[in-house]
Formats: sequence, C-alpha cells, structure tokens
Amino acid sequence: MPYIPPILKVFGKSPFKPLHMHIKKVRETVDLLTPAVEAFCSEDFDRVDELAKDISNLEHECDIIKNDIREHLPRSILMPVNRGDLLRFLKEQDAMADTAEDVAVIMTFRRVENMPQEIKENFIKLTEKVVESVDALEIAALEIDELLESSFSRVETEKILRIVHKVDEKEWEADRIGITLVKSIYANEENLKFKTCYLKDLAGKLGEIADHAENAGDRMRVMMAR
Amino acid sequence: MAWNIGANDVANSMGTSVGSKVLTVKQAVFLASILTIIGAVLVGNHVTETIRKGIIDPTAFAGNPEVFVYGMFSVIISAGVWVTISTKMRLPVSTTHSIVGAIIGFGLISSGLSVVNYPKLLGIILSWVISPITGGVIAFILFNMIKNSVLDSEHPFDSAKKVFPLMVSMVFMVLSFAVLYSGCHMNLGGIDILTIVVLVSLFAGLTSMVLLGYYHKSGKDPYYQVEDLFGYLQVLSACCVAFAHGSNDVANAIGPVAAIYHVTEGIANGLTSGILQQSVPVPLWMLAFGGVGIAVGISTWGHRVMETIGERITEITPTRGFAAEFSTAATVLGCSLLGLPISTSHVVVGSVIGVGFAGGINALNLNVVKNIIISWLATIPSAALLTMVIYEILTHVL
Repeated sequence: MPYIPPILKVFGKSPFKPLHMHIKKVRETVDLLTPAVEAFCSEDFDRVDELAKDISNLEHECDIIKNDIREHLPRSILMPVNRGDLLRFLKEQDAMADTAEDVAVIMTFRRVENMPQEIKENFIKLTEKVVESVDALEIAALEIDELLESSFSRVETEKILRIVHKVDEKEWEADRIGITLVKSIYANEENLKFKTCYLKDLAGKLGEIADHAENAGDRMRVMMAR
Repeated sequence: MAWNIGANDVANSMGTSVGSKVLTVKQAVFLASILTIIGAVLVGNHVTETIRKGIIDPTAFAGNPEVFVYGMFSVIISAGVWVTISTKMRLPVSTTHSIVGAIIGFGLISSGLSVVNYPKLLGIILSWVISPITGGVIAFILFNMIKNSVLDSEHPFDSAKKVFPLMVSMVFMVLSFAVLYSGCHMNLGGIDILTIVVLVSLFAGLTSMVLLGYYHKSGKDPYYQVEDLFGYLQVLSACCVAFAHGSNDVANAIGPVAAIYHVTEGIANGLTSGILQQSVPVPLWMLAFGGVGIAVGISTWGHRVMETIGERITEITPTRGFAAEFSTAATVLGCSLLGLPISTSHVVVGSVIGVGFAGGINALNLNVVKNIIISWLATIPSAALLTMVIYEILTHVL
C-alpha cells in the first residue's frame, strides 16, 4: 500500500478487546484453583503439581495480554475512560491471576497429610467464593462493551454498578469464610504443629484473590463516574 | 492530479461507512464516484474560482498572458510531483495545500511579493486551522445530542425512530442549501432559497417518517437495533461527504487548468487584454471533467485503499460515523460556498476526534494531529519551491 490516509491513522488500537481476552484468561486461571484445592485436600499431590503447572502457564498468558495492552496505550491516546484508571484496573485484574499462581505454588511446597475435615471443607468453600467473585467481575468487565456502545448511558452504567456490587458481596462472604478457616486452623494447632503457619498463609493468599477482584470492581466504578 | 485525489481521498467520505460494514467496498466506490461528480459540477465553481484567480491576481499578467500559462502549468506539474513524492514517502499530504503552495511559489518567482492576494491567502490558511476544529465541534455537539436523546434513553430504539426524520431533514437542509446557494444555473433570491430549503428538508423528513413505518427492527440488543437504523443515516451522510469532497477538491485538479483555459481561449479569440477578466465563470464541462477524473481515480485505485480501511477501522459504528460524516460534510460544503480550498482529510480527522472527545470512540491516536501539522508546514514551502524551479526550467526551454 503506497499511502495511509490520515483517517486510518487517527484510529488507535482499542484496548477493550484485549481487555476482554485478559479477564477471560484470568478467570480461567482462577477457575483451575477449584480442582487444585480439591486435589490438595484429598492428598492427591501429583495432581496438585500438575495443576500448578497449568496455572503458571495460564498466568503467563495473562501477562502477555497485559503487556500487549500496556504497550498500545501511549499517552497521546484518546479514550472515553481515563488512561490511568484503565491501567490500574488492568493491574488489579492481573493481580488476581498472579495471586492464583502464588496459591498454586504454595500448595506444591508441602504435602499436608491428615488435615482435619473441618479445615478441608472451609478451604473448598473459600475457593468456591473466591472463584465466584472473579466470575462476577468477569461479567461486569464483559459488559464494558455495551457501556461503550451506549456511550455511558445511565441504564448501562447502573447495570454494571449492580454487578460490581455483587463482586463486593462475594468478597465480603469470602472474608467471612476466610476468618472461619483461619480460626479452624488455629483450633487444630496441636495436631498441625508446624503446618499451622503454612496453612494460614495459604488461606490468606486465597482470600487476597477476592480482594483484588473487589479492587478491580472499584476501579470500574471510578472509570464510570463522570 | 484528479486521479490522485480520487484514489487517495475516497477514504475520507466512505472510509467510516465501509469500516462500520454499512456499505460494501463496491457500493462505496460506486456511490462515491457518482456523488463526487455531482458535487463537483453543482458546487465546485466557488473554490475553482479561488484557485484560478483568488490567490494571485491574473490581471497582473495582462501584458504577457503566456507567463501566466507557463506558471499555471508549472503549478500543476509541481503539485502533482510533490503529492506523488510524499505519497511514496507515506506522508499525509493534502493536494489542496500543495496546489496553494505551488501557486504562491509561481506568484513569487514571476512577479514578486506584490502579486499575492494576502488577505485571501491569510483567509485560506486560517481556514485550514479553523475547518478541522469546526468539524470537530459540530461532531462533538451532534454526537452528544444523539447520546442524550437516543443512547441514554430507556428505549433507545424508539427514541432513535423519533430522531431519525429530524436527522434526515438536517442532511437535506445542508445539501439543498449548498446546491441552491451555489446557484450556477439559477438566479434565486435569499427568500426563495430559504423556502425551497425548508420545503425540501420537510419533504425528506416526512418521506423518511413514512419509510420508517415499513422498517422492522432486527436483533435483540437495543444498541444493535439503533446502530442498524443509523446505518441508513450513515449512507446518507457518507454520500454528503462525497458530494462535499467533489465540491471542494475538484478545484485542486482543474483550478489551474481553468486558468490556462481562460487565457488560451482569450488568445484564440484575439482578445489580449479582456481575457483575464474576472467575470468569466468556470465552464461546467470542465468541472464535470474534473469530477470524472476524480471518479476514475476512485474506481481504479480507491477500492484498494478502501479494502485496507474496511479491515482497519472496525471501531466505528453508524451512530459515530453519522456524527463524524455529517459534520465533515457541513463544514466542507460551507467552505466550498465561501470559496475556501480546504483539506477534506483534515476535516474528517477533526470530526472523528470531536466524536472521540464526546466519548464515542474507544481509542484515538492523537499523534496523527502532530503528523498533519508537520506535513502541512512542509508542504507549502516545498510545493512553492518546486514550482519556482519548474517555472524557471519551463521559461528557459520554451
């Protein structure tokens, strides 16, 4: 092509499509925690190692998309949302995958056998809630398309705010379960001995994922406030 | 020259329509060709007059008209060469700026500083700055109107249906005003024009209302329905831009030719002094010729540009496209009527950025503004210099 008309050059690469790809990947990554934690609780440690590897790979894919988005957002770009808000949102979204990888790696460190049933149940419950919070965030993030299409109409904004509120609720529930979990870990301190701190760390990391989902939701609120 | 314009600038009028998949490349090429010719014939005379005799005063050459002929000849050559070179270098150069620069160059070398009509030139240069901004402001306001009245309502499709006839009459108002005001065939008074304009736009609005009765919404998503409906408006506005483009840019191709024609015609008739009279209008066949030239450019080369555009501009939807295109058409037509040679490309860019500022487009690259400013700062002196060189060569050879 000999000539690129200015009309073509004025259209920048939209960050919103890759942003969709990113949240989908992040959700996939976090989703794998469910079987991983289940394997961990049923003492199938080879399966844990395997899943941890998968999670690591997916997390890497998330990073690639994230970097691609960042590289295509020069300062001169004009978007309907603030560039800084978008980048902070992306950061929190990516932190969910990062933390999921941390959790998976921690699970490979130590083979905890004979964990009390109560702790196992709480671990699985917490994982469920964490995954739910990320799922809710994904739904909100996928709605951004409609929001842009309607150019931030009241109807669409309210719709997204309702979903973001759901993320908050899930995070709060995850917090509650997290507290119960840590309490049950300390209650079994005598049996667990040196494993107490290890399990408490694991519980803490798991809960962090929901925190990041909530932060990402908050960033969406800021993006939409106008 | 006309071919070049057609090949490169078709992107301006139809680019967004192809990008939003409202038109296929073939349809776009066809519509653009036809409407460019019509625009050139009906409203092309004003700007052609400016190019022919507005920037430098042809009466200064009354004594030796052949100088004027050589000069205009070198203007065509140098503008053509410059546009070709910069196109090869992928610079977004405007043919308008090249022609104006070249004419200034010729004026300076042939008879010095005095021959240039400075107030007119200043007006033209100002219009280069003001026209993209105007396009942007109109687009900003128009898109905000669409946003508030349609996109931000409880039932976007129903609201869109209400707004639709209004938009149609707006488009026809601008179009009919341009055609009538230009008045190359009719003698109409101000009130006549106004009445006809009002009648035409009312009629168009009512017709669209009737047609809307037969329209069935498609799809479930309300924004999709709105975009589907606005697709029709976008075709209309794209045609408007093609029309406006023809009205303004035909002058770049045939302005100098018209100037030469007038002189040679005069010589043929044995009038040496009367030939440079100001009152002789540009003949219609010449405007048509320029228009056809542009259309040939569109059909032979334009589709390649369009295909790339269709692949690359996927961002824009009919509501955005309509806002950007309508404001471009209105601005360019306004300038055509005022006889101001402006760059359609720059107005399009301005309008798209206007929609962007209204929050309508996901990502705009504002760097392009910098590139445009650089390219037109480079174009004026380069085209002027090139003309001086070619003029020198021509006068020595001939």
